[in-house]
Amino acid sequence: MMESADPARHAARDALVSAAAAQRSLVDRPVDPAGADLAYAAGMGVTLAATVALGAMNHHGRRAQVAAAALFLAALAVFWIAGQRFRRANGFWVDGHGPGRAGRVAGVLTFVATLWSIGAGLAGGYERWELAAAAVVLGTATAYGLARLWIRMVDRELRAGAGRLDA
Amino acid sequence: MPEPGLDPVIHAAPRLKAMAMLAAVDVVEFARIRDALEVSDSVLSKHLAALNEAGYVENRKLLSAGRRTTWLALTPAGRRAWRSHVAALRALIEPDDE
Repeated sequence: MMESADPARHAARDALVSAAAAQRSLVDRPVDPAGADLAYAAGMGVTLAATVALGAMNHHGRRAQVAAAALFLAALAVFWIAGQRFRRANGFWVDGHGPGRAGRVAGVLTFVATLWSIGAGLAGGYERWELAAAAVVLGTATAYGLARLWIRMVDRELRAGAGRLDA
Repeated sequence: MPEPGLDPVIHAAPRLKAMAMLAAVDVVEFARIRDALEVSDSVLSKHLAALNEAGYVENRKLLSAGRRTTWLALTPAGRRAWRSHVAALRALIEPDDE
């Protein structure tokens, strides 16, 4: 009985090992960070949009609000393009781990950073341009960090997936 | 001849590897799978046709550097078939403890 089961067991093990190797081949070369630069740029766009929107509430009226909305939409378009660049450069795509996700998180964080810096600035009596500059610096750092983190997440997830298959 | 519980459509080695790659991500470029499997375009096409016919894989034409290239993705049925095939392989390796 065992004699007939052993070849099947070996064949099954070989099949899983070769499947895991095929999955690992997706990350045999380092994941190309193409698109991360655009995700980063889009993060800055969201930051600027948030800054202009906040400025609009206080000083600039409807035109600034329209400008903020346009900036935000442009940033979303850039996130989408960033995803397309990543897909083309790497030959694969993982939903939910693209620049769009990093961008959404970056958008929320940069908005909070903007709010905080303007609030702090108003309390400290800074000029508007100083507050905007502070917000852009904070937002840029956040967006850049998240774009880099995203690339690492994709790489780690693929390696872990292949590891689970032949464990 | 595959063991009971194994999917005969997935069982062939090139199809098993292609399915493994597709299961790891959402879409993969045809050329990426062909290079990983070290097979010709026609051989891979033949295997993919079998997976297509079973409803496990779908083709998408997407633009890459100005030209349309073929990208492949598992269908929900393909993902289910892959999971049960892997489960059947594992069951062969680790049969119930007696």
